[in-house]
Amino acid sequence: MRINKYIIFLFSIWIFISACGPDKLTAPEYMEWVANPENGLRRKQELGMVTFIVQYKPTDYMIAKTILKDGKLDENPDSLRQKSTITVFDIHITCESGSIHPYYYNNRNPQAIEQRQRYYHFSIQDDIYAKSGSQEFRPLYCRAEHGALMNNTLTLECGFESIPTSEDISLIINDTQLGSGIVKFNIDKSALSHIPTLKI
Amino acid sequence: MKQSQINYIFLSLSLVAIVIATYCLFKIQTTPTQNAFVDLVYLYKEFNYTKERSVVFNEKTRPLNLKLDTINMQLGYLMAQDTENDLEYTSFLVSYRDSLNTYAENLKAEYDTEIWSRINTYVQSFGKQNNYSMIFGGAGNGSIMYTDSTINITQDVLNYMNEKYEDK
Repeated sequence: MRINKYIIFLFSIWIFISACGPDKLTAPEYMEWVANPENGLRRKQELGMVTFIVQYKPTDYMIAKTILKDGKLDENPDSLRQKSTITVFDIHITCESGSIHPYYYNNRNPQAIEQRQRYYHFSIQDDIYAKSGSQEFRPLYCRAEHGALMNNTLTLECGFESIPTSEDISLIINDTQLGSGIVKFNIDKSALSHIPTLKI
Repeated sequence: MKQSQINYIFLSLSLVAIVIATYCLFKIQTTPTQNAFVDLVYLYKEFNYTKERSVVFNEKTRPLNLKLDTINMQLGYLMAQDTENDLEYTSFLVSYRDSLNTYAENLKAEYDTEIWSRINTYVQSFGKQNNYSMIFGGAGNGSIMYTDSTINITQDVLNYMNEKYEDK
């Protein structure tokens, strides 16, 4: 009887401790968690006919993606986490609820279309920056995803030198092509501090 | 018909009436019927977007303003001299000054269009979210001469716009 009580007590303590610790999620669960707007890492701004969605991608997100894609990890996840010195965002741009690709939104002239394509492939990097506290960060790279014409969404991936997560992170885009002007996205520090760990 | 049956029918009818009344009340509450007023001049001035764009605009036009100051000084000097020899140079300076002014005005108009477009977007979404059927904008030009302070929602709209813009 006394042993049973002891076991129940230990079991309760174990449940209590595991509830207090950071969540551990499998790769698909992790991807789903990060993409869920309720968790604060995915922000949306609608400006007239133009919609911007920004996705903050933690290091474990990349690891989870690799696991889902390749089925395994070639490197130790902890060393991967330590090596990761960049902060990555995905930016998804849609126009008129996805009925037209941003390249062609209010744009019919072939030369202007080409100019817009060039802008998103080479120049948009100059019009994007991130802020954390009083620090400003310029992107190390910004690349437009190829083959995104299929779903009328323009997807850009932007990498920054590691941005501290102790403060809110703001991503600021001053898109000069779609007439939206400056658009800000705020990733709250409370959201950043509650990111679960990937179970590997 | 028994009394209990009559009571039952009466009770059912009462319940149906209550459900219909509740539905109607809900419908009335959710149907946009309110009108409100906003002070556009205040919104424009106090909107964070305007403040940030003004900084950029001032930075962009600073060299332009310096040039304009120099031209105006030179023109003032030439006018004071009143010599016919400098007529050609004076007319050059005047046309240069005009082109610089036009450039600055166009740039300002471009910035203003961008800011007003953002204000319109946010006021529209505020109106939709809060079930307003109409939001009047007073620009201090006499188009709206009087409004009751109870329908002045300028501060609420400004707070909403700034929160939306800062994505808070």
